[in-house]
Parts: sequence; structure tokens; C-alpha cells
Amino acid sequence: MNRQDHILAQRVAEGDVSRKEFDAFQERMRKEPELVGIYQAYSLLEHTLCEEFEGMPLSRTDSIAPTWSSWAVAGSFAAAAAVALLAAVLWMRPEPVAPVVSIPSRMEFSEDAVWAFKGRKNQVDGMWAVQNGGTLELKQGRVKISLATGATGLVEGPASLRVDAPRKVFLAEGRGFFRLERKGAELVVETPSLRAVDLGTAFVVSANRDKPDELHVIEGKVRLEVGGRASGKDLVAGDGASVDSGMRVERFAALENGFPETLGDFTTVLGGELKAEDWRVAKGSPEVKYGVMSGTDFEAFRKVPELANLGSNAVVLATVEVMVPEEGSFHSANWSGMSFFKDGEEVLFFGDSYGDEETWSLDLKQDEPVVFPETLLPGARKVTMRYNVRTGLVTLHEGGLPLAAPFCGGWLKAGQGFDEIRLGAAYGAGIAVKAAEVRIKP
Amino acid sequence: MASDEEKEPASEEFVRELTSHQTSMLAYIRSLAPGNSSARDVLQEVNITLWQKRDSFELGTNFKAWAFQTIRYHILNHRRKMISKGWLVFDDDLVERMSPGSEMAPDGLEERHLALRKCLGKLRPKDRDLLHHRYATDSSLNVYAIATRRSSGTLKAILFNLRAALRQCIEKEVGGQKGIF
Repeated sequence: MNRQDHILAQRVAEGDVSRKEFDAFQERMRKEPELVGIYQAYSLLEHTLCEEFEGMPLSRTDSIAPTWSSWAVAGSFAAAAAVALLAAVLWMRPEPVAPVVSIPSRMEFSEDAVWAFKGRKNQVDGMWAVQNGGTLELKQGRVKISLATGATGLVEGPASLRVDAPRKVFLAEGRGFFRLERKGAELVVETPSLRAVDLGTAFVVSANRDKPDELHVIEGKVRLEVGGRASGKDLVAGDGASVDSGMRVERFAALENGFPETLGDFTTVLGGELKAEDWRVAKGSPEVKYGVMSGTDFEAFRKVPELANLGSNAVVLATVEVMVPEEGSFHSANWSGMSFFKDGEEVLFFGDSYGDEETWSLDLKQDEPVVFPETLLPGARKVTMRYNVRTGLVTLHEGGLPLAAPFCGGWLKAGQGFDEIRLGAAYGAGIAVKAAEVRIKP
Repeated sequence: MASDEEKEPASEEFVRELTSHQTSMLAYIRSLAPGNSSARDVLQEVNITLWQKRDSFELGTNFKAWAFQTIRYHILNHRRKMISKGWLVFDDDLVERMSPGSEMAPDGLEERHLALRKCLGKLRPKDRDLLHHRYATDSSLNVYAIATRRSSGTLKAILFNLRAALRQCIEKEVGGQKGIF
């Protein structure tokens, strides 16, 4: 085979030939077996080059900033996801790079995850096989990503990421715990500032909008590359480093724990039918009938020891469903709703707060004003409060899970624990609680 | 009939097989329908077929052989439609001839990828930039030629030489393996 044959084989592998040239090439392949081998070699090279280069990282400015307003869209996709097969979902702006490699990875989401995936996806037994090159926008919750090469990643929302290739994840924003699940697997995690090449280990990468990106090596060894340079520093277990947008590297000791490694299931620590004997009445005389607790000017407490020592990555969900009370009014100048206490001090309240606004609202105490929704949300309904222990973010959502856009949000201190909750209504206010449930994800 | 407890690990195992063979499958599709920008779509269609027929696959047997056979049938069945879209698709006899003989495992493809990365490291930065432009962007070679003040003919010739050099380098790195897939 001469040089021209090699050039021709390359052109065919690229698809850069006319139909006539292609037919002539096929005729030659039938007569010249060696040409088949040369073609296959270049075809494989073409494929490998595509894998290597396509889907190069997005820049920081290309990442998509999560906004409250996009929650509704994300939530609707999460619901649609349950029935969609091979749905091409396009809700974010077009991707600047269109990767070609189509090697699906698998994604599993936590129960409270709110997400949208731009790209093809198939649902397979509760998991999603997603086409590489697609972009995942995880507003809240967790996702477990299983790459075809045998590596896994546990990413917490809010996060924006793309699986570029079977071995490569681009984390535009968010924090992920990555691990090789079998010997010989390979993994590269990139952020806008750094590239972590896994050399047989477990590590955490965080890409941050307002501070340097970080790498924490938990086990084994990781090569840290910055500035697009292929050479880098090898970090071992216990090493950590941050890289800022100016490619400046700062070394520090890695945080050794506190990173979630599982999707985590919610455990119900308070739920079921409301019974009078479960509650300590400190004020008034609430009535519990047919599983509904109702009354006016009362306070009923219940110890929830599971809330006292929450893990650093825990998430707390509290759902309250109220009916129209026979006595008093849920909306009044006074308060009615659910409170969380710690050492006898009220830390968090949601329901109808003090004031004339007739709406559900959130009161995070700390001498801060009550958080009212932009659009008032009045009356009997089911509302879920979500508290992210790691970030301190508290949000209120309509419904039994925090999948709808939050209508109120605020910040409690991170790591806050509770020991008691209260259902009640102040003088002049009334409440009828049909259901109260508290769940924890470790 | 298998209980749910029995079926679940089987599905898990099947998905694991499916995902671990995606690289090989995509490479094979690209070889049978060269230059086809819709190779991913073909792969997706084949994935669905494999999933629908998963009950007929016996776990522990040769998944790759089964998957590649499905790809061949898919190409044979959809040839006319593909050609009508302007795609290049090899004739049936050549599709059969290019069927993988000594099949390369996914780990083998992985090894070639690592070798490529090593070989790319030996190139001059401007050659890597050219490859990056060719494979990472949708922009034409003419645009790059203007930007780099070279002719597109020159760039094409450089690309041919680079690919030939990379092919040789990879073969050397992986120890001159003969099998392609």
C-alpha cells in the first residue's frame, strides 16, 4: 500500500469522499484485503480522536446559573421523566460544543432531586442511561453517575455537569465525590480551573462560582493538572489543593470526611396518623379527631431526637397538610403552623406568620423579618419545608416533596440541629392539621 | 418465572454490559458507516433494540458478539434509508467482511485511547491545535487556514501526516496489536 492508499483510507474514514469514490474504494477492498485492514485502522483512529477531542470543557461563562425561576421547568421535567422514553429535552440554551461520543452513562437520582438533562436519555429500571455529551443541571438533591469505564460520582446539587466521554466528567459547578469501582478503570474530572486525573483512588472535586475550585484526595493518588498542561502534581490521600481562575494553586490538608457517598434514602422520623398521646400539650386544648389535630390558641410539642445530631450532609423534610379549621382562622394577625425548637428556643417556623398577609410564609427567627412569597399562597394545602444542613438553605415548596419551585427561601446556620417540633396556633388563630411528617436523609 | 429479586441483578448486569461496550459499539458503527455524524443516533437505536431483546441474551455469554451482530443487522436493515440520507454505508458483503474477527475488549480500546493521549503529547503544540480544531469544533478547515495564515490544502496534508504518525505511534504503544475491534 502506498501513501495515496493511506490518504484515501483516511478520507473514507472521515467520510470525505464522493459516492463514486466510495464505490470505487469498496471495489478495491474486495480485491485487496490489506486495504480493509488499513481502513479499519484509520477508522478506529478517527473514532479515538473524536473521543479525545470532542466535548472539550465549557468555560465558566458557559455554565448555566441555576435560578429560582427555572425550578418550575426543572420540576416539570422531573415529573415527565417518569414516563418519558428517549425524550430529547431541550430547555437550556444551546450547548456551545456538540460532542459526538454517544456512550451512555447511568444516572440515579435521590428522591428530592430536581434536575433537567439536556440530551438523550432512556429510563432503565429506575435509572437513566444518558447520552454522553448531554448536560445535567441538578438544582437540588443528589445524583449518582456510573460511567461506562467503571468509575462513579456522587454529585450534590446545585450542580451543573457534563459527562464528556466514558472516562471524563466536566463539572462546571457543584461538588462531587468520585471513586473508581474496579481496577483498571480511569477517570478524569475537569472543572473550569483544574483537571483531576484519577490514578486509582477516591477524591472530591468542587467547582465554585465565587471561590477557587478544590480537589480533596480521600484515598490513593490523583494527578492535578492546571492551565491545560498535561503534566501535573501528584496528590496523595490527605492532600488538598485549590486552583483559582488565575491558575494559582494553593495546597492544604484535604477534608477527610463530610462528603456524601450515597444517594441516601429519606427516613420518616415523625409521621402516620396524628394521635393525641404522641403530643405534649403545653397550652390550650387541641382536639385530635379522625387523625386531624385542630384548635385555636394551643401549642402541642413532640420530641424528635433524630433531629438533634444531623449529619453534615443531611437534608430534613417537614410536610404539613392543613384543612380549613372549624374554629378560628388559619390566616390571622397572629400565627399558626409548625415550629422547630432547639433547647427550648424556636429556630424555625412555617405556616401563617405574624402579620396581616394571608399566606404561607417562613420565619427563620434570628431577628430577621419573615420571608413572604412574591405571590401570596393562602389557605388549606400541603407544604413541605426542606432544610439542607450543609448549606443552611431552607425552602418551602407546595406538595409532599420539594420538587416544585420553592415559594419561599432563606438561610439558617449550617449544621443546625433540633430536638422538638410544635404544632399550634396563637390566640385568634386556628389550625386543623390533617397530616404532619418529618423525614431525614443522612 | 424469575422473581423480582432475581430479575433485578440481571437487569443491573445487563446495563453494566451495555454501558461497558458502548465505545466498541460506536467504533464499529463508525467503521461501517464512515463519516456519519449520526452514528450516535444509530447507537441509540441499537441500544434500544438490545434492551428490548435483553431477555434473549444469556448473561455470561459474549455480549460483544451479540451486540455487534445486532449492529450488523441494523445496518443491513436500514441501509436504504441511510443511503437516502446521503450517508456512506458499506455494502453487505463488506459489512460481513469487516465483522470483528479477533475482537478487542473494551479495555483494549481504552488502552488505545491512553496510547493516543501519550502520542498526542509528543506532537508540536500547533499540530495538536490543528487536531483540536478538526475534532473539537464545527468550524471549517478554511476558517482555521485563514486564522493561521496557511492554505487549507497545506492543513489537509498536515492532517494526513499527523494521522499516519499517530496510527504508527499507537500501534507501537500497544505493542503492535493486530485486532482492530
